[in-house]
Amino acid sequence: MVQKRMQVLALTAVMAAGVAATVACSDSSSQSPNANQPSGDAGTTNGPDGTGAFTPPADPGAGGFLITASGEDIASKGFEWTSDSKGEGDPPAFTDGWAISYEHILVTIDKIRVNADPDKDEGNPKDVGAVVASVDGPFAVDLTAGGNVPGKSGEPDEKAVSVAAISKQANGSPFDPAVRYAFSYDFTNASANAKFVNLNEAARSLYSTAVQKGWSMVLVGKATYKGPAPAQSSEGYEVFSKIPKTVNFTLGLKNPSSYINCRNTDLTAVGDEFPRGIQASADKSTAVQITLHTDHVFWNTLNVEGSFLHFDPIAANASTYGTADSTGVVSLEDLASVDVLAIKTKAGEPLPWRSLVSDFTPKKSTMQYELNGTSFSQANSFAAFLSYSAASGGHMNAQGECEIQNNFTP
Amino acid sequence: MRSRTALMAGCVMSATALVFAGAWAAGCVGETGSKRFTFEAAAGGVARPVGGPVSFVNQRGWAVTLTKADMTLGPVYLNVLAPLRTAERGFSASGSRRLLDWVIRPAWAGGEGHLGSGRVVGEVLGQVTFSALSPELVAFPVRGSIAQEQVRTADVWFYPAPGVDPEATKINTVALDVAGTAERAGERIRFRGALVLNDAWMADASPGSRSSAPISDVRKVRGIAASFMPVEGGRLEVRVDVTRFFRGADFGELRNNPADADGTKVLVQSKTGKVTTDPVMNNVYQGLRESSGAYFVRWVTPD
Repeated sequence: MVQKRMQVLALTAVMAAGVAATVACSDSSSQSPNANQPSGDAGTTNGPDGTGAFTPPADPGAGGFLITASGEDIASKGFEWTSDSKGEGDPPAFTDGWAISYEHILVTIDKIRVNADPDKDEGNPKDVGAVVASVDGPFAVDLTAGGNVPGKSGEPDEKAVSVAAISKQANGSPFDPAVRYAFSYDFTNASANAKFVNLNEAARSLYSTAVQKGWSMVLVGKATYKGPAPAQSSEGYEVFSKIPKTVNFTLGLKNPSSYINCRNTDLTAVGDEFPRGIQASADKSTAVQITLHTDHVFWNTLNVEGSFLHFDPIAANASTYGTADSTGVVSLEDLASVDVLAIKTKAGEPLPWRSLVSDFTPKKSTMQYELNGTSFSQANSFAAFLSYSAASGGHMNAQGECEIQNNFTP
Repeated sequence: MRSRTALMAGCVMSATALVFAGAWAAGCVGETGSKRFTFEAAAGGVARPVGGPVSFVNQRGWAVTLTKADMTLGPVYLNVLAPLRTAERGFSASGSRRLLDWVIRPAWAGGEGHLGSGRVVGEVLGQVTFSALSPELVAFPVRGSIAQEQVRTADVWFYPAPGVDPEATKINTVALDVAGTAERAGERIRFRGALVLNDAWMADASPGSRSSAPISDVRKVRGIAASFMPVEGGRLEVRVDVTRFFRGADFGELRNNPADADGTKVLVQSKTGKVTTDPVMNNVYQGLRESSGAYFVRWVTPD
């Protein structure tokens, strides 16, 4: 039953571009067009006022690390929904009949760290050895736009974007290919000093808003109800028939977090466990992918091994609740006072569970999410729930788990 | 698609590992050869004037007065594992997972329990019942044992009484027995309730594994910040702030709940029936399982 995903990354074509390095410990070399830029947006690495300048990293060469970022294929493809969808499918589907497409998923990456001794303290994996290399951004990345680097999931639609390169240790020594080094990074608040890795004009405008509002993660998209029209005789009809069928959402999350000493699913498992850290190759550069799982934000349970996805609680609090055919809009602020232990609509009606997939059995009660040991400053706040859950999405190399330190009070 | 490798905890405190011939058994205590000793442990409410009701105003604007809050907890484990989030920021995790969950993991977002199993260095394998309204400490009936290593977190479990299978879903052990009144805008509601950590709190059965957790997870509060180096001759204190369990409770939601002859509303925990689990009871349940803000665990060294 145990499977091991061995990724062979076809980075050669991208790295052969020989673009200039922008980070500490990297080799400066020739310039080339930004290989990261989405089609049609090449070379636009500066903000309109000259801010946001970003020079794509060069291939650090053998023994070095190319740091990339990805929201996996879901970031660009979204979540589809058909009558055959499964809540536990791959990718998972929303149990309540919603399809989601993202316009932008903005994150700000900073404080990329490579430390010695990832196995220093088994009881406290956050306790690692000395920093041997680091890269400071902040780097503003639109995970929906992605880049041209093959992603770690193995999905053909996943396109990671190069963020930084590290060719050697800060003291000038090469990385020892026989040694693992701890890898950590931060998602920080949007910053006016951020380098725009792959932001188009719309993303830059959104990022400016993120800076003003102190968001660290922004998910913007459209949700479309694809399930059957609720039958008049069905339970919950009175509520479900009022939920707008199309909802434009903007979830600006104040959830900066550190992802520390990540496990590496590219390495060979030892026993039943993946090792922590990254390991250089003597023959070529090694890609290290900062991965955001974009399904976490829609989970119904915190701190567990995944959970089912729901959009009804968000849609039922959209601006046009009550007129189903009018496109609604909803933001995180609209959800702050929604109680996740007794979820209600914008009109204050209890929102029942709804399942339109075959593998999820809804309770016959008002929707209640599971906090599972987590408390929020504003008790039971749906906005806090979403922020906390989304913050759990940071990984390395697709599935490698990191020690998470929330640098915010949920 | 996006297949993954299994992860396995080193020393998972599974419920089954704790049951041996109907009694609790030690997990993985003292593997390192550190000095070991036994200690007294006790539990009680947080500091306040001894006796009498406890009054507070919750975030829903209800002025709550608790007249009864009897709590039964145990066992308690002390772990070298650091909390993933600070006590102020709040953290807990589902705790140890079923073996199957480690072996067969979904591709999209597995391993989000976040809090590893760590290594247990101390334990109190007993249960104690006390009034959480009183700061008076009540001693556990058994001494705990510990290896002299840095403790970073505590796990408080609410298991059935010794001798009962911890995996049993139908139990009678009351984790919290509460009663009181709540007033807001001229409305006054008397209430009482008994929280039992049984299958009423488990996710509904579904063919898949998402959102599902074993009953043992329902009975654990893991990752309580508790940073200390135990010293022989010291003792362990566990204090509980029961007011945290009512922070978000809207007592106005009890209008459909059953009532005693005197009008006292009875909190409900049930998946079926005319009234299912009410929001106030749900708040109590969620609050009892909060790893930050509700529990205070410390080592008291004699002068």
